[in-house]
Amino acid sequence: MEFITGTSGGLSPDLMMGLARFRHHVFVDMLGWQLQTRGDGLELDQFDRPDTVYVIARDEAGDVTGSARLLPTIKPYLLGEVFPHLLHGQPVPSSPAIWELSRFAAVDFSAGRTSAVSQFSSPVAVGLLRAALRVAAERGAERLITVSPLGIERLLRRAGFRAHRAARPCIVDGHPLFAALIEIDESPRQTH
Amino acid sequence: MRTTADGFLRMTLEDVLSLPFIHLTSGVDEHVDDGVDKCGSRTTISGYTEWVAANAAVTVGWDWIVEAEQWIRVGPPRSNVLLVDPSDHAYDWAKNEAVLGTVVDAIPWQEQACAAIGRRYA
Repeated sequence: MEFITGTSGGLSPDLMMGLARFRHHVFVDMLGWQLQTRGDGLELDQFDRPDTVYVIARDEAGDVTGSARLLPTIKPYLLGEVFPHLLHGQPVPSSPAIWELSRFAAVDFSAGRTSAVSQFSSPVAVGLLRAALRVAAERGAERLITVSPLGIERLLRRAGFRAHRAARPCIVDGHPLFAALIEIDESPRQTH
Repeated sequence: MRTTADGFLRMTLEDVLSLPFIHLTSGVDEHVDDGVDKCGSRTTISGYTEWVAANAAVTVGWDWIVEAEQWIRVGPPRSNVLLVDPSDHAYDWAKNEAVLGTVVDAIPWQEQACAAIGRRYA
C-alpha cells in the first residue's frame, strides 16, 4: 500500500483517470450518490481544479483503493458552495488554517466484501486519513472540515481522531448529514 | 456562549444545564457481517441518538445499547460544545466528554429514542 499526493498537474493522467473511475465506482455505483457525471464512468466535479490536492491510496497491483480530496477554504469548496445550510447560519469557514476534506473513501473492491461503513473503518481508511491530515498540515492547515454522514463522527473518534461536529445535523432523505471538523493532532488518541 | 476558530461553542456547564433539549433523530446500527453468524447466538441491539437544544446551536449525540431491556448510553457524547470554567478556561478533551456525559445522563432520552426507533423501522 502506498499513498501518493499531488495536484492534477503533478499526478500522471493514468493515475487521475484511475482516481476518477474509483470515485465513480464508490460514490455513484456503490453509494448511489446523485452526482452529475459525464456517463463515461468517471467522477469529477467543479472542485477538481488544477490547485486541488489529492491523496490517493494504491495497492501493490497499482489499483486505486483510496481517495481523499483537499481544498483550501479560502477558495470555493464543497461545503461553502453546495452545503452551507449544514452550518445553520454560522459563517462558512474561510481560513488558511482550515482545509476541506471531500470524496474520502477507502474501499478494496478486490476483497469482495464492501460496505459504506468499511470505507471509513478499515486500516487503509485510517492510514489514508492520517496521510491527508499530514498533507493538509504541510500546507498550513490546523483542522479539516468535511461534509459527512453523521455516523462518520463515531468512526473517526473510535479510530482516535479528534473530530467534532461544527453544527447540528441535517436530516437529508431520512439520513443525518453534518459538517465535521477534524483536528490535526500529532498525537491522536483513543477516546473510547 | 461563543464560537471559536476551532468550531466549538464555548459554554459554561450552567449554560448547558439550562438548555431544553429536544430529540432530533435516533437510529439502529446496521449489522456488520463478519462471517461468524451462528444460530442461537446473542443479538445485540445498538445505535445512536441525536438531540439539539431548542433555542441554541447546541447539538449532542451518543451511542446506546439495549441490555436486559434497558437502554444504556455507551461511550462519551459527541457535541459541538466545549465547556469552560468560570474563568473562561476550556476543559480538556477528556474532562469535556466526561462532564457532558453527566449532562446527557440527566436527559430522559430512553423513551423518546425507543419511540423514534419504533416509528423509523416499523
